[in-house]
Amino acid sequence: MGEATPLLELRGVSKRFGAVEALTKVDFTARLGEVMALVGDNGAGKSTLIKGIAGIHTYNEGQIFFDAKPVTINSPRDSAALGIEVVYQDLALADNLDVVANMFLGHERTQAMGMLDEDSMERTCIETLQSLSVTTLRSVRQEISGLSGGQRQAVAVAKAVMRNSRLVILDEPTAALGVAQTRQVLDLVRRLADKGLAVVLISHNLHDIFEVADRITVLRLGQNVHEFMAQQTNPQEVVHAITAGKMLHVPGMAEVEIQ
Amino acid sequence: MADQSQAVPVVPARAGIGALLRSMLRSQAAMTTATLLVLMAFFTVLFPSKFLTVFNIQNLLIDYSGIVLLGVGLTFVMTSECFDLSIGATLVLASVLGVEAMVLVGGEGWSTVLVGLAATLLTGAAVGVFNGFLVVNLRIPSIIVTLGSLNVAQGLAYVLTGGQDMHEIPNLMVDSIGLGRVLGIPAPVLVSGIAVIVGAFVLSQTRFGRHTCALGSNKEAARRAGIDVNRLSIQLYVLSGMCAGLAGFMSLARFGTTTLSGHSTDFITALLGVVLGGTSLFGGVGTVLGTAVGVFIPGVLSNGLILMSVFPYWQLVIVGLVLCAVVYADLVKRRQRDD
Repeated sequence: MGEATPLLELRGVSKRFGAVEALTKVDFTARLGEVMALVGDNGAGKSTLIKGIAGIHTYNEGQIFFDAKPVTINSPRDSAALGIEVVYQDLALADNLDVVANMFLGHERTQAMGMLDEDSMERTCIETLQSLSVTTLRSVRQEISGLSGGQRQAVAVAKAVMRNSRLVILDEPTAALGVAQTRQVLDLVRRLADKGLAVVLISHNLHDIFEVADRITVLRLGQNVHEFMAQQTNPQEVVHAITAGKMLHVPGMAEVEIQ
Repeated sequence: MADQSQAVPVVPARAGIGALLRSMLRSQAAMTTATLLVLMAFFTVLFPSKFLTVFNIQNLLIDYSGIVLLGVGLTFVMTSECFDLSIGATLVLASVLGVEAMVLVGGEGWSTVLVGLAATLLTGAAVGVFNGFLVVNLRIPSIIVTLGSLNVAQGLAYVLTGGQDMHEIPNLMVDSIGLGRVLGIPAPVLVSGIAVIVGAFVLSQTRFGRHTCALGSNKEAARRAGIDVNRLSIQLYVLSGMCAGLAGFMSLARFGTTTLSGHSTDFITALLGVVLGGTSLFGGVGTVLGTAVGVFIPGVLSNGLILMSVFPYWQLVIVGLVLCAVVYADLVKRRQRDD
C-alpha cells in the first residue's frame, strides 16, 4: 500500500444542521485499489459524511479533491459525473423486475422503434457480474424478489460498478446477511478494490472490516479521531478510538489547541 | 465462490418477443386463458347452436371492445401501483363533449367526425391531467382522487345535457365506424385490437413501459435511477384518460347516442379483466395481452347467463365475487414470494 495520491480527499469538511454540528473539520481519503473502512458509533457522522460525497447535501466548509483537483459536489448528478456510486443500505432495487432490468434502470439501451435492446443489456450485465466473479445467480432473468439478501447486494454493487465508477461507497452491506452471504459480499468488496476501484465501506462490524479493509477511519461525535492502517492495528485499538478517541476540536467552542 | 473461471449461468431464453410469449405462458395469463376456454367450452356444450356461432362471438367482441380500451389504459395505471376509478365516467363525459363539439362545428362529413374524435380524446386527456395533478402534486391517494373525478365527470355530463341523451351524431360516423368493417373485421374490434397490440408493445418492450413497472415496483428505486416519477405518473393518467376518451368516441359511433347511464359498471368489468389478466393490484406487474383475454371472462359469463335465461344482473354479483377472489389469490402469491 503505497502513499499514492488519494482519488478522493476531504479536507476539513464541516456540516451543521441548525445549531447541531454533525461534522467538525473532518479529513477523509479514499485511494484507488484500497478499501477504506469508515467506522464510528451511531451518530458519529458517518452518514452525514457520505451524503456530502454523494451530493445529497453539501458541506458548510472544507474542500473536496478528486484526482488531486478541487471539485464541488452539489447534487447526486455531480457525484455520479465524477464516477462516485453509493450503494445504500436499502439497495433500492425493483422487486418485480429482473436483474438486467434493475441494473439498467433509468439507463436502458434501445434499438429501432424504441424497443429495449435486451440482448445487449443482458450481455453487459453478464460481463459485469462475471468480472466481479458473482457466480451465485441462477439467471440474470430472475426477478429480484427471488434473490437472497447477498445476491441482492451483489446486484446492487454490480449496478454501481457497471457505470464505469471509480469510487464505490457501500453503506452497511452486510448488516442484514447471514454468515455465508456476508462472506460472499466481503469477497466482492475485496475484488472491487483489487480491480483498481476505490472502495469506502461503512460498517459496524469490526470483524468484517479487518477482513477486507486496508485503512480504517474512525469518526467520533462528528470528528475524525484516527486513521489506522489495518495491518498495523487491532480491534481493541479501533474500539478504543470509537468510544474514547481523542477529540481535536470542541464543537461550538473557539479553536484552542488541545494538544 | 472465488472460482474466477465459473461463468454466470444464464437461462438461454432471451427477452423480446420470446419473453412476451413466455410471460404469456407462465403465470396468471395462462390460467385466465384456460378459464376462458373452459367457460366457452361449457356454454358451447350447453348451447351448441347458439353460443359458438360467428354471430354471437362477433357480438361479444363488439360489445366488449369498449371495455378492452378502458382495460388497456387501466393496465398501465395499475402497473404503476395507482388506481383510476374515473374511466367509466370519463368515457361518458368525453362522449358528451364529443357530441357538443360536433354540434358546434356542424356538418355531417369526416371533418366533423374528426372534430368529435379530437374532443373525446382531449376530454380524456384533461381528466387525466386533473387526476395526475392531484395525485402527484397534492399527494392525495389515487383511489380518492379518481373517486372524486368519477363523480365530477359523471356530474358534468348530466349538467351539460340536462340529463337527456344527445343524438346529434353524423350518420357517417355510425355507418362507417360503429357498424363499419375493415377486411370483414368490425371496426370497433379492429380499433381495440390495435390498441391492445400497441399497448402490449409499449408496456413490455419500451423504456416507458419498463419505467412504469419500476414505478409500481419500487418508487424510490425509480426515483434514484433518475426517472422523473412525477411526470411519468401524470403521463399514465393521461394515457388512461385518453383510452377512456377513445372508448367514448367508439361508444358514440356504435350507439349513435351518448349513453349517459350506460357505463356505471364499465369500471368494475375492466378492473376484473385487468386483474384476471395477471396485472397486480399491488403494482410492478402488468400485461396488456392478459387484460385483453381477462376482459372476456365476464363477457362470456354474461353472454352465457343470458343464453341460460338467468336474470342478467346476476352477472354483477358474480363479477364482484370473482374480483375479490382473484385479488385474494394475488395476495397469497405475493405473501408466498415475500416469505
